[in-house]
Amino acid sequence: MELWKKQKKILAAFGGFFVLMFLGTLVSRAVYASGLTQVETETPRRMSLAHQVEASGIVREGQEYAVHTLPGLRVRTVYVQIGERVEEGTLLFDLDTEELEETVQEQRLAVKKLELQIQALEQNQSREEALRQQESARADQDYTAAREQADQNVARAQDDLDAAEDALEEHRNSRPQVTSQEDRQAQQTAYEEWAAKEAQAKQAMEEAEAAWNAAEEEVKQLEGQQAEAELEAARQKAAEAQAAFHTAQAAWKTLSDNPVEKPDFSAEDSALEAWREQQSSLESSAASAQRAAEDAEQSRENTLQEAGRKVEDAAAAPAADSSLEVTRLELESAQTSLERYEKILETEGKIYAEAEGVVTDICVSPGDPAPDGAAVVYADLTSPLQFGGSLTEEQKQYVNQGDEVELKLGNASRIDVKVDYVAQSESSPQMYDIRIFLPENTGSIGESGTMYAEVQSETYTCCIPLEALREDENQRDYIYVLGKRSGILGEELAAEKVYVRVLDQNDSYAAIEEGALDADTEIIVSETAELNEWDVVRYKD
Amino acid sequence: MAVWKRIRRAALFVFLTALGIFFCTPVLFLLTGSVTSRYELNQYLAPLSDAAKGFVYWKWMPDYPTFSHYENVLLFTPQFYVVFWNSVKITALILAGQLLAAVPAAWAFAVYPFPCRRLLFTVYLVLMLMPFQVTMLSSYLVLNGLHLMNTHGAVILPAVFSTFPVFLIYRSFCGIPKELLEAARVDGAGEWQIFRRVGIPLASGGILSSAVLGFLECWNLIEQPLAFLKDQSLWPLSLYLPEISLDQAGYAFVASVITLIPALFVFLLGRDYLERGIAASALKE
Repeated sequence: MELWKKQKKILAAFGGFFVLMFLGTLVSRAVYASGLTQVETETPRRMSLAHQVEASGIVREGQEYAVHTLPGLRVRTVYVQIGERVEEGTLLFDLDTEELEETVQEQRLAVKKLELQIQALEQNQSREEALRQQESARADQDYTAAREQADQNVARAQDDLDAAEDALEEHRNSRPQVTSQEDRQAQQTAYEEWAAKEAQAKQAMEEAEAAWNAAEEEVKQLEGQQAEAELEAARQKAAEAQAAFHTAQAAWKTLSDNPVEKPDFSAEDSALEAWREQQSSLESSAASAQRAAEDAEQSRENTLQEAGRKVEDAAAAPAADSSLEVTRLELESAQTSLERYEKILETEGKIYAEAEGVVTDICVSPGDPAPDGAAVVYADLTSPLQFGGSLTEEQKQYVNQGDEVELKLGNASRIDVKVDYVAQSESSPQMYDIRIFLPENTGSIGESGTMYAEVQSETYTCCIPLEALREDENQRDYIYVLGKRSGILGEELAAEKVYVRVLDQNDSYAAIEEGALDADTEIIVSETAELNEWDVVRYKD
Repeated sequence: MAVWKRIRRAALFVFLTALGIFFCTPVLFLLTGSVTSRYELNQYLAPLSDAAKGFVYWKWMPDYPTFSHYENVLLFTPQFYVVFWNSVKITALILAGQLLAAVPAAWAFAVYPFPCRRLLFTVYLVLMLMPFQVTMLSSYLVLNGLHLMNTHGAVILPAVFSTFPVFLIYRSFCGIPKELLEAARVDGAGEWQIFRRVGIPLASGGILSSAVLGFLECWNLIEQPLAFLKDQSLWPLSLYLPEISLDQAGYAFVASVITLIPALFVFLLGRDYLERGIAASALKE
């Protein structure tokens, strides 16, 4: 019994433990849930985006007139104020007449100075022209004289050349006659043949005489001896030798009696040599005359060229000098200014409005010199007013020149108007200026208004609320969608990051490229705390 | 002699007390660690990480005791409760299943002499001796065929038909005298009445000791959940604790302390039965 009592206590404690654990489960779950980021989701929509453009602006004048006066003139009194309505002939401001008179006097003096300068320049130009013509005439004369002199020198040289060539020709025609080389060779050959024959005959004769004397000696030797046959043969032989001697002697005599004379051409050679020396001399003279003629011709050309250049130089146009024209222009300008000053002076320095309007700008003030630009600007009330405003670069995509838009001026109802002008702003390149010319009797200068334009885009299959679109540090667009994450607590909702490409967007929605999401994807559009990828989230209560 | 006897008893007391304290050291570690501040724990346990050298040391009394770890676990960590209740569910269903299956099985083995009883019981014993690694693959194939993988059923179902409780309860039923059962039959009691009115009350010690041992085993299951449970949301406490990193040591100590509490309650509830049941089994065997 005691054991059971003890166990009951333990069981009660055990049960209490489980109760505590159950309560702890609830509390920790609640704490955990309270720490989770709560999100609101939407699914992608199929829609077209309406791009609404609103641009504020003010009504301005349609056309402005600028009143000018000559710069530098001191302003005495300004009679109008900005925003003041002026009529044609309204006195705008007047100028200091004393200073104006001084200015006129100075201007007249300046005109006079310029006239005198022009006069001096004209005289100088006339004188320079006369001198130039004189110099040209002298150059022509020098040219003519130089040409005549050169022609004369050339003619003389040509005469000398002709004479030399005639003398040479005449000498060539008086060439002495000489034996031709073939004749000389023939005569020499004939002489040499004869001399050879005569020497040969003489030698044969002397040999025959020696043979005869030998035969005679042999006969004499045999005559003392008893050899009759041999003696007789010797005698016969001596007789034959004698006969041969006589024959040879006769032949030699024939030749020596009819000698061939040895040829001699020295005389005619001397004559020819003398002729040749003279010819050489004459040719040298002719060549000298030829060079002299050529030199004379070259000299003539050089002289004529030099003289011709002098003529050209003298006839050349004088250097450009625009000083006279410039001075004349200055004079013209000064005269125009003078006329303007005199005209202002005639009106005693008073400047009047030329048309009806409202003064929009005054650039003069009493005591200060008049500016170079407009002195007074006033709006033309007879031309239609215009509405002017600015568009951002994004708004500009949906508003173009000629588009129909709505315009609301002040408390008036909206009117349909047309955009007349859209251009990039000069002062701020990121902005665009628009102009809308208003219908007649609409608006007043300075009135505020708003332009409304709406452009409907094509239908996009995947549009998400703009607040769901986020941008990372690399300027890439992404969204968080509801994903699932498994952990010890089971499957939990988590923020899954999905990068998207934005096709179009307006103030409320963004159209993103298809493929990244399906129609049932839950996109996180708002959250109670900053989200990071795969953070556990829960639906907003 | 009496003096020597007292001295011996005193010495034995001191020795056993020291031994008892030594065995309780892990629990003391847990209790002190669970109230030690995070800074102190990092200092003590720094050598476990690669960042510091030296040896781990421990102070039995922290310099600045704190219950912040309890606060963190109990109030700000719903994950802990998930695994806690998973363990409770697995353990409760396994125990219930074991009682439903093992008690009648043990009764049949103990009371009815059907054919091949001894052979079948021997098979039971062999199965009881097999470690989980041996039967893991076959269990996996069967559970996969039953589409129970990654469900608590994969852990519960095999454990329900564990043979160890059959063995324990069988011994308790064997202790009931046959004459008593015969007398009940003679008195007109049916088999079911005998089982319910005679068998179960007389073997309640063994049944409860089986339940206590079964609880301790199921409460600390590791291999089966690790092998069959993939989703973390199905994990029991035994798998959750290793997931805690070293810099959350205090968190782990608290989780361990809380894990210890149900086991302690069960032990306190069934301590007497456990001692009796185990003693009876040993004596009968």
